[in-house]
Parts: sequence; C-alpha cells; structure tokens
Amino acid sequence: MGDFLPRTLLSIRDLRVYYETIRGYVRAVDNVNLEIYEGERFCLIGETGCGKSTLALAIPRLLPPNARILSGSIMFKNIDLLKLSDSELEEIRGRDIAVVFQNPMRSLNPVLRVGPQVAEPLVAHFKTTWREALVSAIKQLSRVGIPDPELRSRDYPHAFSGGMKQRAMIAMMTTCKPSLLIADEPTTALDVTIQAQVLKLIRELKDEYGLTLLLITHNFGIVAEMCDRAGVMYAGKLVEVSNVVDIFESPLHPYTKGLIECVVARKKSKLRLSQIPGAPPSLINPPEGCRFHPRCLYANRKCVSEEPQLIEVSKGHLVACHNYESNR
Amino acid sequence: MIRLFVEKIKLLGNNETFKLFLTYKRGVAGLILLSLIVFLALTADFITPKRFDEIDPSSRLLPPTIKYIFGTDHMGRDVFSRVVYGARIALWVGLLVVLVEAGIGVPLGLLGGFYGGRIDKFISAITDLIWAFPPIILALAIVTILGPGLTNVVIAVSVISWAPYTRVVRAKTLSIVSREFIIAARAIGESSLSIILRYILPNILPPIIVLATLTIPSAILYTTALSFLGFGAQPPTPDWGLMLNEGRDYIFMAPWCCVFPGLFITLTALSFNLLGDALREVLDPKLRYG
Repeated sequence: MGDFLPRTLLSIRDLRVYYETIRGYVRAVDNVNLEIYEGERFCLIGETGCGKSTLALAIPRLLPPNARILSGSIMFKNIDLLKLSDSELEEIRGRDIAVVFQNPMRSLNPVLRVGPQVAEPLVAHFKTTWREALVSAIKQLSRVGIPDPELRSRDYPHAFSGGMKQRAMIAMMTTCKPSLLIADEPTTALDVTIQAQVLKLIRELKDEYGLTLLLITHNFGIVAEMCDRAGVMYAGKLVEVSNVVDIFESPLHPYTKGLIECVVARKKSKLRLSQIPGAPPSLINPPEGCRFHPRCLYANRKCVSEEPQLIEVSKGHLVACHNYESNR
Repeated sequence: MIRLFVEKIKLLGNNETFKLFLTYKRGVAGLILLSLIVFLALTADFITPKRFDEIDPSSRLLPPTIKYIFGTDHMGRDVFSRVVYGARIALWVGLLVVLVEAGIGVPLGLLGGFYGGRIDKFISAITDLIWAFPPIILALAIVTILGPGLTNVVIAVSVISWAPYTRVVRAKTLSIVSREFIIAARAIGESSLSIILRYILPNILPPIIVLATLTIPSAILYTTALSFLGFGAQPPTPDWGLMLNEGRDYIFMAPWCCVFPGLFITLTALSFNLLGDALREVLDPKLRYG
C-alpha cells in the first residue's frame, strides 16, 4: 500500500447470515463489518465452521438454499448486491465477481469438454461467438499453465488431474477479467507441491489483471505468503482486522494470538505445541458477551456480559476485545 | 457411402461403452431381435407377398403353407403381411408414446427437482395422483372421452405413464443440483435455464435413456390392449392388438390368426426389455463396478 488513499471496492455492513436448521438458527455470520480496498489481497482466516466461507459466498449470493441473509448490505462498486434481482446478479457473477472453489474435483461439469466450459462465461456475458470464445479459452488455458492447451481443451474434466482442474477452474473464472476474485480455500484439496504452484498462479494473475483478491484459508503460511491484509473470524464474528505484518508481529485479540502460537511454537523449539483450550462454541446458541470468553485466558466479568465491538485501535488495525490494552 | 458406414462401425467397435455392452449377452440378443423387427418394419413394402388389406374370399382361414407362411385370416388376408405391417405401427406407437411421456415427465421432474419448495410439492402431488390411478382404467376413461383411434390411444397411454419419468428425473436432479459444479456454474453467471439445460439435463440423460427403452414395451402392450378392447386402431389397420381381437373368434379353428401377432407383441416387448436391462448396467457406472 502506498500513501495514497485506497478506494473501497467492497463494503460489507452489519451483515447477518443465518442457516435455518431443525435445531434452530445457526448464526454463521453475525453483524460483520468489513471493507475491502481496490487492488488489495485480503485474507479471511478462521477455524472450520467459523463462518468465513459463508461470509465470502454471501457476496455473490451463492449460499445454500437454507441460508437467510437477515440484515445488512454488501456494497460492491456502489451497488448493493443484496438488493439486486437474480438476473441482475447473474450479470455480475463471473464478469465482475468470480469464485474459485475448494474442491476442483467436483467443480467442473463432468459432461462438458474443458474448452467450452472455460469459454462459457465469455459467451454468457459478452455474447461472444463460440468460435472466438474457444480461441480465448485456449489462450487462457495456456496462460494458467495447461500444457498443449489446444488438445487438452477437447478433453473431458475427468482426464485432468486435480491441480489441472483447479488451473482450468481459475482459467474459467478469470476469462472475463473480474475485479474481485474470491478464492475459497483454493488449495485445500491439492497436494503440497501443487498448492504452491496454484498460489503462485493466483498471485500472478492478480498482478496481471489488477484484480482484488479475497482469499479464504485456515493456513497461516498462505496468509503470510499471499496477503496484504487479513481478517480473523471466530464463531461468526470478525474479531481482528489488520495488515499482515501486525497480525503476525503484534496480534491484539487473544484468539489471534492463540492461533499464531499454535503455528509458530514449533519454530521456537518448544517441546509441546501450544493450543487454545476448549472447542469452538455452537453457533445455534453462542455464548453471551464476547463469544471467545469461555476459552479466553484474560476473560473478566465484562467479557461475559458485554459484547465487544470491532474498534480501530491504531491506523488500520481493528480489534473486538475489551482487554486489548492489557494484551499489547 | 458404404465405406463411411463401415468406418463408423469400426469406430463403434473401439468405443469402450459399446465394447462393454457386447459383454452382456442378453442385451446383444435383445438388440439383434429388435434389429430384426425394425428391419421387417422398414422393408415391409418389399418383403410382404401381399398388401395387408388385400381380401381374398377364396382362401379364408388357411393354415400356414409356403404361400402363406403365417396362414390367412377370416377374410383371406395374409397374416404374415399384416404382422409385418403391424410392426411398423407398434414401433411407431411405442416411440411416439415414449416421446410424449418424456416430453411431459422430464420437464416436470427438472422443474420440481431444481426449484424445490412449493413447485416441487405441487408437481410431486400430481405425479403421485397419476401413479396411484389404475392405469388401464384411466386410459379407458380418456379414450372414451376422446373417442377411439390410434392417435387418441397414444395420448391416453402417454397421460397414464409419464409419472415414472418425473420421479426419476426429479430424484436425479436433486442429487445433481447440490453438487459443486452447479454452484460453480452459478458463480460464472449462468441463468437457471442454462443450468437446467446445459448442466443438469446432460448429466441425467443415461437414466432417461434406460427408462425410455424400458417403457417402450409397456407402451406397446397398453396400446395393443386398448386396440384389443376395440378403442384403438380400427379395421382394417394391421394393429397387433386388433388382429388378436379379430382372430379371437376363430382361435380353435385357426389359432395362427392369434398366435403370430401375439408372438410378435411378446418378442418386441422382450427385445426392448433385454436391451434396456443391459443399457442400464452399461450406463450406470455404480452397477458396473459395484
């Protein structure tokens, strides 16, 4: 980030997304506020089930049918995505906002050849002829590193390996050069050597097309390597937002601290891996006050009764904790 | 032209699915039997010694001989010619019924499975209702309203038997619609219509093909039953059901009038069933490796 004022690309205000289940509402995303600036690489971190995917998929409204967006607004380039009709949203999906999913094995249509599939968004959005779209698709496939793209574009997805499928997926999602690319744990299903290649590819495409990246992960290594800013989620709440250096060097929220200690402890050659005591709470009946207090070492009476708000404690560093002063 | 055809056949010989199909002996038997019947139907004009409605009062109820290999009926018409022309009607009717059934059942199943909610409940309710009705009684009721005739029989049989298509298609759609590639299709901005047509339909085509092959025989049986009861094809149409009905009075004197049309009904139904069963196993990878 330079010293110019960054422009906001995406602004999420008071977003609440609940899932309707027979046991009650699962409060997957509860009153989340978040700004994402143009051209940055933002990362959402958190445990499984903390609502990070729900938050990300709520942006293009790709949530499962039992999800309810109860309140809030998602402003994207000054349009409230939550107020758009389905057909207006279809125009934005794939053209301005693209999503790369977690499992490339299951994200491609098994009965469609790869080439036409990658060409699909161009035809859907720009009314390009199939012939032209296929030419661009082949170019795009070669850009993402598929060897012999002309030949491979005639293959069905089952003939592709996992890494190649994810590359094809990335090619498909970036043919329209979207302004926001949401990557929902894009490397979780891949093996480690392929992970590094795919992340490198995403980074290159980000720079090449000048897109904004919203990356979801539970891997701090990926955060450190890929991102400018990061947000930490816990039990449906955003608990800390900051630039990546501060997240690692001076985390303020006890949860962030705990997470980082879990990862870096080994490097300090401690014998025992440190851990956060307890388990994540049920999101149907989350704890009163601060949702982290049952597991927090610093919790006091205020934490039990009063919910902390996300406040800016220094420039660009936001935290939702009553005791952040003493945690410094 | 012939060389092109041979090339195609050679290509088919290399196709894995086709190779697999060849290992199902009963399926191959069904295919050969069906090909024979189709061949008879296609070449009816050349291989039959007489026209199906050519009356010859001097040779009534003759037993099978070299001249009349299936014998003659009470009006002196050649049973073989009538059976062969009847194959045309049976196959045509079977195909037509299946097309109409699929035309009603598949879209309803897709809509119900894709949209869910109230639309699905409504469609499922109608499907269950049709399913619960005794089919032949409903068909009789419809034909009574519309009047006799082959077209009306096709309509009636289609109306009573589209429910399996809706059920199968709905269930398959449900299993596909929550898959990740459908969400990915939404993510690139596909409309619901193109998701249904380009993503769901091609993926559920194999079970539809199998169901179609397996419902052709029942469609043929229902239409011949209605014709037998006098609601379907009218004389002198060489419909197999109608021939059975006409031959009924002479069954002890001249059994060939009934035996041959009956035999062909059975063989046609059998060939489709054998073929359908083999197709189901070939096209469903779960059955194949399970």
